[in-house]
Amino acid sequence: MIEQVDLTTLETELKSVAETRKPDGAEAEPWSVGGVAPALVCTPSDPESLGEALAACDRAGAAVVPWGGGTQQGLGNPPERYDVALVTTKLDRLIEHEPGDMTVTAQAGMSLSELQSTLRAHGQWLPLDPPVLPGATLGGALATDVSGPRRLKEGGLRDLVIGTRAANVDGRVSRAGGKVVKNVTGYDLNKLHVGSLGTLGILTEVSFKVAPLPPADRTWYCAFEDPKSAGLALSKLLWLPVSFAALDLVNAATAAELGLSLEGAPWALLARATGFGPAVERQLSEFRTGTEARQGADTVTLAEQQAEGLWSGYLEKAAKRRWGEDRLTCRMALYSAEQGAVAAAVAGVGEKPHIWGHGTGALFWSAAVEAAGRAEAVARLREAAHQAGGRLIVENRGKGGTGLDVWGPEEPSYEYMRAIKRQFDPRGTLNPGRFVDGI
Amino acid sequence: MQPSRFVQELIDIVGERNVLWDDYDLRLYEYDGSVDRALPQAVVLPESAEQVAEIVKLCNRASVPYTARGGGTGLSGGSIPVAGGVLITLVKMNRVLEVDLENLRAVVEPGLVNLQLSEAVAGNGLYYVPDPSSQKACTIGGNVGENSGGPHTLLYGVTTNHVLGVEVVMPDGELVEFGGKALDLPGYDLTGAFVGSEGTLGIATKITVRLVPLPEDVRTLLAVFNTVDDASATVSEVIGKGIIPAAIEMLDQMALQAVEASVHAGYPEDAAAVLLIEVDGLRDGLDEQAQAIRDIAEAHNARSLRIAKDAKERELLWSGRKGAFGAIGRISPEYYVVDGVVPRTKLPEVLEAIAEVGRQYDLRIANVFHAGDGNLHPLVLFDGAIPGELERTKEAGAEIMRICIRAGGVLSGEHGIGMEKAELMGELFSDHDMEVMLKLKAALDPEGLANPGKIFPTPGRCVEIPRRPLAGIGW
Ligand SMILES: Cc1cc2nc3c(=O)[nH]c(=O)nc-3n(C[C@H](O)[C@H](O)[C@H](O)COP(=O)(O)OP(=O)(O)OC[C@H]3O[C@@H](n4cnc5c(N)ncnc54)[C@H](O)[C@@H]3O)c2cc1C
Repeated sequence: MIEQVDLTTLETELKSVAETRKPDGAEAEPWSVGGVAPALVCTPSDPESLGEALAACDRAGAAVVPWGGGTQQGLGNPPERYDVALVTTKLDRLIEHEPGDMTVTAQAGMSLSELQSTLRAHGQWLPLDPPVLPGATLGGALATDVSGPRRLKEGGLRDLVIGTRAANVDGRVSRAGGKVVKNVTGYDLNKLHVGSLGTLGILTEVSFKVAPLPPADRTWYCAFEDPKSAGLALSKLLWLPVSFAALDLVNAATAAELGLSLEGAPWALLARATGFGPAVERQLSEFRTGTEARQGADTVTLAEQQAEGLWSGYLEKAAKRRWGEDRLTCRMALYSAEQGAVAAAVAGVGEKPHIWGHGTGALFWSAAVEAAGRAEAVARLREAAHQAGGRLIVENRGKGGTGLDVWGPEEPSYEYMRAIKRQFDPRGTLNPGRFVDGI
Repeated sequence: MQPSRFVQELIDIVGERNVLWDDYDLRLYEYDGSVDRALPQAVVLPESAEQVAEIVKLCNRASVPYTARGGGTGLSGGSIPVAGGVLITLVKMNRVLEVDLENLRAVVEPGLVNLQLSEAVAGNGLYYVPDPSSQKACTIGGNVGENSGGPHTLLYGVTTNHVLGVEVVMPDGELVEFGGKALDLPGYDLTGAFVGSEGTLGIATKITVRLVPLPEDVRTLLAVFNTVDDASATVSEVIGKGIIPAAIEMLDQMALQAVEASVHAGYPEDAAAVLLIEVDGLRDGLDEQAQAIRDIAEAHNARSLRIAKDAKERELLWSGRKGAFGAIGRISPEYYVVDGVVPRTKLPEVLEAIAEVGRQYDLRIANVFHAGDGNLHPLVLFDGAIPGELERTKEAGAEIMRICIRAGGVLSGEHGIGMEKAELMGELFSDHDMEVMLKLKAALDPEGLANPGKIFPTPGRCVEIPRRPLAGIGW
């Protein structure tokens, strides 16, 4: 039983700790999630007041959607209840960057692109190239666990985050991890936050490992008739002792947008190598022989600028399909060697889908599908993923796709996830119902 | 002596040969690699996950605490049964269950010895990256418990970066799987939360790990310095220049002398510090990288530089590092290994402060450590036969921890908190920080029977560890 939320009192309380607005009608629209709009939008300017605001909501029984850049709110189920958007974008300070330590700490509302430009000035970067829309924040990136093609060599957020501070529903800000690159001091709550969709607490600060910008960076591609051979070439290339920076399998629709000429072939394998010059050249020759052995076409080498444009265009388009446009987009978590076969299987689902996958085993399928046909498309895609031992998440439901099964069937481990949620957020204040299994 | 009813029930689960309960046998299990000890009331050696689950259920029914143990090489008392109870030793569950060459994954049982995994896949040109110096004796389950590192984890990451899934007997006795061979599955990353939880959230019975292609070639350098500062500056600059070697290890003078007295690795005994640096991967470009490191070391006044010419010389250079802990035994009856991490740029001042602790407490301290990631291992030399010296040693260790905290560091980089440092947690984290961490414990182990007395300070601990009532069981 959920009691009626006393919004008037809550509004007064929130106003006493942070800037709070009561948007109406069209003004509330940008803050809506899955068709539900909030009554209040609260934008605290420091972690402590964010904590206080969260606690006030919790006491009032009001449901909160933690709001970073608002660029990936499409992920997950629509919230069961939604009263307050708690916005983190004023928590946007760089806390610490000691280039010699190759670590950085920033507030969670800072945008990813701002962090990257700060680091770039020192010849470093946060080695993460997720397809995100402009304005995506660090906290939002963590909560949704986004990563891109370069996860293959650099690892994902679970590997890069070394410390976090988070506001808990009791209003207090607690920390886990630290600012050092190696750490076994207490439970690794950082891992729980990554990919938790803001259901356990609201991140206020994050520390990362960073990396030097690589001295050499090259890109090639090769067309394939059969995605299975491309997949085989890919998994064989993963056997090199230095990982490729990226090995992406894309279908012709995806390649065409990037201006790659496949001469009629339906698939291509894109490769990127970073590091020391000689090793990068060696990877090129390995790519050439590896793809030739699997009936790939001739390897095409891209000039530096062309390559840069290719990857940024690729990420931009992927970001729009995953988080922006009105279409259906799914991510499959697969074993790397199964990618080619699954790509072949899902190519027949929907009209002219875009299909692309990272060497890590993340395979994406995206197409414009009528609302009425989406559930069936999802079921077919999920079936293909499960048959290959993988899983599928609906990332972009498209307009009107609210009834879709976003996370898939229940797993035995979800019982323990629910137990964790009950401890961290007993009243179900944070993003209720949006995560797996109704969490 | 007749086994008690409880012991008989353990015997019913795992068979007579797999239960130890007489005093003589139990004594063999009262310690690990650290300096603390505590006696279990029974030791069981299960042979399957189902047996582990039955044992945990039995403990739940009888309200008896239990502690998982792998090789018992832990250095923070993680597998010491502080509150007594049942010690669940997993060494009989030591099979490689699956090697998935196509997907570069292996599935293993927790009792498998770390090195045996790499040996099992070496023929396929693969290995398992985390390589604790104890890898001939420690188990993958123990590595998961402590989120272990090793010399070669600087570039490639520690246990948590290589473990992708675990099958766990949860404290409620149920067998459940978290994660798996594929990355980024839906739901909370419980694999990530489990790694490094020191056996306090359940017992891993199956572990899915990443396998990595063996490097094609390697260059190993030994750089000798007259000051620790020059060695530290070299570490920072190598990494700052964008070269991330597979390993950068440092040994200070006392460590060098100990090593030379036993291993004869060819380290100079009069130097202030040496760095052992290794770059590996594709053959192409390795010489350039080695040269770049060499130039940096020279610019920081390295007094000599040696690049191993062949595998034999490389082995020799590494034998000094790998045998360093043991070598300390040559110059001291006992030693206490301290594990702390500081930001890399703080190394010079922290090492100086540690030397000061040695002077203040009148104890010799040698340093052998993973310099690349700022992970210190001061070895405090002591003689337990001298009254009060062990206590003084532990105090010195605590003081070193405080130095790490003040430098922006943490209490452990790879050995865990265990029982050793539980009382120091409050100096790094606030009560509230720990309360939040303990929500995870409360969610997964509400009864608190899984390895009690670890990681977090126990209220009133200074008097005596509160023992769970074991009465009525009649051990
Ligand atoms: C000479 C020497 C050198 C060392 N060098 C290194 C090094 O370079 N790097 C490093 O990181 N460590 C090092 N260590 C420390 C130690 O070897 C590691 O912590 C190792 O991972 C412990 O493994 P073990 O099998 O001995 O575990 P144990 O000591 O038996 O247990 C360790 C912890 O894991 C828990 N545990 C054991 N099995 C399981 C399971 N199946 N499920 C859940 N929890 C479990 C235990 O309860 C305990 O808390 C060294 C130790 C020695 C003695």
